[in-house]
Amino acid sequence: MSSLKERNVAAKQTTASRDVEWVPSICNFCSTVCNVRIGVKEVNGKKTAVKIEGNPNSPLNRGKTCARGQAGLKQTYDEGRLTTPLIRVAGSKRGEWNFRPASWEEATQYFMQKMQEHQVQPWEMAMIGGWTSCVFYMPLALAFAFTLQMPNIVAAPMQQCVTAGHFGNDLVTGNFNFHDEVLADFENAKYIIFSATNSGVAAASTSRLVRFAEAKKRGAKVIVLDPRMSELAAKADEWLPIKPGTDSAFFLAMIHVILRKGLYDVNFVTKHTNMPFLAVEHQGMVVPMMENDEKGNPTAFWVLDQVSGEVRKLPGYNNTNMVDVEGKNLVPALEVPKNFEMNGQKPKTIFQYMIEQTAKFTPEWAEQETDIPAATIEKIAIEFGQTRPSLIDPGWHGARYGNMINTRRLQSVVQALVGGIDTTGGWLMSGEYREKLLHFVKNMKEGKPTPVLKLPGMNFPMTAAGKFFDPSSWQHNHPSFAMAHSMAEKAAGRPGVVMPAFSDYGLEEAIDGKLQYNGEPYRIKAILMNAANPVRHYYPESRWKKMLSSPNLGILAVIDIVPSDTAAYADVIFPNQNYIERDEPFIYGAGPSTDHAITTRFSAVESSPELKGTADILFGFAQAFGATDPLVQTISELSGMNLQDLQEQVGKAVKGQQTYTKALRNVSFKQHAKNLGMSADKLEQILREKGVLVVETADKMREHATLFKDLPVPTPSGRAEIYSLMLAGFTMQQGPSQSWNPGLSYIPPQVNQAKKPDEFNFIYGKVPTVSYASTNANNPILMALSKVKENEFMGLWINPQKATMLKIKTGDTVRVENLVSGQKAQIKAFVTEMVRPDTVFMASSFGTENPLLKNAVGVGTAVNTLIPYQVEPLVSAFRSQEFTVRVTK
Amino acid sequence: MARYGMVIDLRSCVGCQACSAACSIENQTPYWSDKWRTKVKDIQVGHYPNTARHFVPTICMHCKEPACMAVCPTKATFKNDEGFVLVNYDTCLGCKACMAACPYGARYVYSKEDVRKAQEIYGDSAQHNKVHIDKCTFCQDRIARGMEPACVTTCPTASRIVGDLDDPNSEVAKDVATGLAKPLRPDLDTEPRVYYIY
Repeated sequence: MSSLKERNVAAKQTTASRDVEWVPSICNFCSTVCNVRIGVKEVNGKKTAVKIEGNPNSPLNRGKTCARGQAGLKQTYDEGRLTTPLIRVAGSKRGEWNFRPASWEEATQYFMQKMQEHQVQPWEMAMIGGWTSCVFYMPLALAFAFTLQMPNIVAAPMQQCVTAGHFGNDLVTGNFNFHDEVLADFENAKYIIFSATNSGVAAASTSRLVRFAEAKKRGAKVIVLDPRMSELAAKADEWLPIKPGTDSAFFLAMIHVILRKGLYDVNFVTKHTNMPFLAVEHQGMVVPMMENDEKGNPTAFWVLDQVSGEVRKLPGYNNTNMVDVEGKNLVPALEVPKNFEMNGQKPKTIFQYMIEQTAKFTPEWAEQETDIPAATIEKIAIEFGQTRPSLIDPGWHGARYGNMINTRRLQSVVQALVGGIDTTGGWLMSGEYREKLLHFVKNMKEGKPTPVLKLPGMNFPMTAAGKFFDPSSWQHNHPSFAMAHSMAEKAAGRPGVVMPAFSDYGLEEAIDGKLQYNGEPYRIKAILMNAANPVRHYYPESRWKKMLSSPNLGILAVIDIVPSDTAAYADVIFPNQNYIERDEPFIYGAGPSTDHAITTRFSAVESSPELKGTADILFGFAQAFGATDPLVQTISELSGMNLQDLQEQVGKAVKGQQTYTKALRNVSFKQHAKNLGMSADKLEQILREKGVLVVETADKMREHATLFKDLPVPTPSGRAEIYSLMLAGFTMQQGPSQSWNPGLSYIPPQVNQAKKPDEFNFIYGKVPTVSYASTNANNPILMALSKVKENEFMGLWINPQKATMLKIKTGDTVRVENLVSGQKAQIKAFVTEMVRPDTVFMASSFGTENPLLKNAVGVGTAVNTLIPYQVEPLVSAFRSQEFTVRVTK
Repeated sequence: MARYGMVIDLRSCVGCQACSAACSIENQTPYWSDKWRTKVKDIQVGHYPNTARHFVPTICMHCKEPACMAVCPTKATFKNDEGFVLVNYDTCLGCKACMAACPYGARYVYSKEDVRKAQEIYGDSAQHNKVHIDKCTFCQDRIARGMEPACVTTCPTASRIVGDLDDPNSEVAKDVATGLAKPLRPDLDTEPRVYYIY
C-alpha cells in the first residue's frame, strides 16, 4: 500500500478533463465530420475549452477522434486568430499583411462601396467556398447565390475530390450527398482492396478507421495499390507498388477475369444492373435499345426473358429487372443466342458487349501497364470474386490523372459485379441518403416535386450544377464563368469542359478580361471567399496569386477564422466564429453514417463579440444588398423549410432580437422536431445531452429501404449502371471521347514513360496530422507531431536506388523541377525504400507563407508550387500528377 | 483492487498519433519542445519492394519492478495503490537517474522553460508548476473517475485497450493468457503492465 502522503500526491495530479462540462459538437478539422464533445471549464476566470473527445453516442466515429480532432481546440486560442473585421490599408498591395481594424458596419460599407466603384454586375461576382461551406452551409450558400443572381460558386474540393473522383463511383451507383463518400462496411468484409487512397482511411478519417481496424483485427485480407508504402499500405497483407496512374488497368483486368470466370454475382447483375439490357452498335458505340421522354429520361428498355424466350419491355426507371411494364414477372437473360434478331436488328446484351470490350484487358496486358505481375492480378481477381463479402474502398481524393473518374467508375463496376452495393460487408449507403431517396420516390409516385436540397444522390448536383450552366435560369442570361469559358473554348476549336461544376475553370480569363460571352466581356470583379484557402489548395499557387493580385479584381472579401495565405490577398476580412464557439444554423445528418441520425453543434465557449457565425455574415451581406426577404424566400424554396417560420424568426433577427444563426436554428429545430413527433425543446434537450440522435438504425432502415432491393437509385435508369447512360448522354451531346466512354475503356496516364535517370513520376498525398483544403495549418500540437516525423511528412521520398546515383542523402536540400510546366521548388530529401524507384512523393498541406501563422510559416514545401494548371475535359478535375519532375542536388 | 494493464495491438495501429495528441492535451506535456509521454515509432525495414513499415506506440510500461523507482534518490518515484508508477513533482530533484535507468525511454525532463511555457498556455489550470522528470501516469486521474486513459479513449483503431489483468474475463487478461499479447523485453524482469500484440 502506498502512504497517505503518496495518495495525496496522486490525488493532486489531475488531468485536463477533470471537472469539465462536456458540450456536444462536430469536429471541423476534416469533412469526416466526426461527432465530438468539448470539455470546458473555467481557466483564469474564463470558460475555456480544455479537452476534446469523440462522442461515444456517435454511429460515425464511435467515441474516437484522430490527432486533428484532439488538437482542434487550439484553433480557438490561436495567436494569429482574426479578432476583428479588417480593411486593407490604402496603398498597400494584396499579398502584404497590411490591414486596419474596422467595425462590421465599416467593413460591410467598404465592400459595398467597392462593388459600386467597380460597377459589379451580379454575374461578375463569385463565391469561393471551402468544404466547411459545402458541408454545413450549402442551403445558405446556394440560396445566397441564387438570391443575388450570382451564377458563380467555386467549391473546394470539387475539382480535387468530389467531381474529380467520387463522381466516377456515383455514375454507377447514383450516390451523392453533401458527404458524398460512401462509408464502406470494412468490419464485415473479408477481402478489401484500396486504390489511390490514404487520406480516406489511415491518414486519417476516423469513421473509416474505426471500421478498418476491426477488419484488421478480424484478419480480413487487405490489398493496397499505392506507389509508396503509405500508412494504409503499411497495413496491407499485399502492398502492390503500382505504376502511378495505372490503377484503372488493374481494375479492367479484374473485370476481364471476373466476367470470364463467372465470378460475378449473377443474381444481382441480372436483377439490378443494366447488364441484361438489349443494345445495338451504332457508329461504333454501344447503344441500349430504349425509349425516352421529352427530357431524355429513359421510359423503357428491352430484355430477353429466359423463361418465355420472349423479348420484354421494362420500365425506364426501376429498381429491378424482374418485372416488365405490364407487371408480369420475368428472368432476363444475360446473353442472347447467336442469331437473335429483333425488328431487323441483331442486338446483344450489355453483358455481351462488356465481355467483348474487355477482351483485350487481359492480366498480361495489365502487367505491362501497371508493373504488377499478371499472375498476381489474376490471383487477386479470383480471390476477390470468390470471397463474399469483398469490397473495394470507394476512395476519397480524386484528381491526379485525367483517368481518375474512369478509375473510380471501374472500381465501382467491380463492386457492382460482386453484388456488393448496399450489402453487409460492401458499400453501405448513408442513412441520410436512404431517407432522402425514400421521400423522393414517394413524392415521385404522388407527382409532387422535391425541394432541390432534398433531392437524393446524383439528382442534387445535376440539378444544382445545371442551374449554374443554364443561362436562362438567371435573370441576366449569363451561365457560370466556367461554362462561358467552356463555350468559348469549344467555339475556338479547343475541347472545353462538359460539366465544369463549381469549378475555377476560366477564372483567370474572366479576371484578365479575356473571357467573352455573347460578344461581351464576361469579367469577374468581386470574390467572396468563405473558409477557403485556394492559394494553398488549388493549382498552382502562382495562378491564384496572380488572379487575386489583379487590379481587375475590384474587391476580394474573405471570411475566415485564422489568417490563411489566401487571406493575405484580401481587401476586407470578416472574422468568423470557429466550430467550438458557434451554435449552428441547422440540424444536420450525421455525415455518411449508415444509421439515419441527426446532429448539430452547441456553442461550447463564448466567442469575442467581434466574431460572427457564417449565417450572420451572409445575412449581413444580403441586408447590404437589400435582399433579406428574397434570401429567406429562396432558403425556403431550396430546403423546404417553412416560409412563415423563417420570416417570423428572421424578422426577429432583423430587429436585432436574436442572431440570424439563432433564427435559422429555431426553424430547423422546429421542423425536425415536428418530423420526429416531439417538441423542439425536447429535441434540443436530447441533442444537448447526446450530441446525436439516431432516428432509425441502419439495420432497421435496410429492412425496408435497401437500395436496388427496395428502391431505385438516382442513376438515369434506377439500376446500377455498368454501362453509363449519363456518359452515353454526354457522348450524344459532345461526340465520342475516352473521357466519357459509357462502356469499359482504358485511358493511360499522360506521363513521360521513357525517363532520364534523374526524372521521376510525381505523387502526393495527405498525412494524418494535416487538414486538407482548410485553414488549420497553424495548430501547434499538429505541427509538433508533424515535426516528429519531419522526414516522412515534409521530405521528398526518394528510393535509395536512385538517391545513391544522384548522391542524395536524407536531409539534403534538393531542387525539384516540373518537366512539363517548368515550375521549381526546393525540399529536403527523405531517402527511403518505401517508394518506387521511378517515383518521388511529397505530402500536401505544408509550405504555409503567412507570417501570422507562426507555427506553420516556412515549414515544408507546398505541393502547389510544383503542380500546374491542367484539367481534364469532363468536369475540369485537376490532373495534378500528370507530369514528371527532375530532381537534382 | 483492479490491476490495470494495457494491450497495444500493432496489427491495427496506423501511426495516426491521436494518442500523442490526446495525451499531450490531457496531461499538458511539452509538445512545444517535442516531449511526449507517448509517441508512435515509425519503423521502416526491408528493401524495395520487400518492405514493411511498423507503427509502434511507446509509453511507460508501469513495471512491477520499476528500474526508475529503484534508483530514485529521494523516493519521488513511487507506485500508488493501483500499481501505477508515479512521480512526486515536489520531491523530484530532476537528477535524471530514472531516465538513465528506464530501459523503455519513457521519461523526460519537464524543464524550467517548459514550466514557464505551460503556465503561459494553461494559466491557473497548469498541472506542472515545478521542474521534474515527467512520465505517463496511466491517466490515473481518469481511471479514478471511471474513464480510460486519454490515449485509449481516443485511439481511432482501438489499438489500445485497458482492463483488469486479474480479471480472467477481461479482454486484456485473455490476450495475455493466450500469449497473443506479450511484454517488450521480458528478459529485463521488469514485469511490464503494457503488452503488445504483433
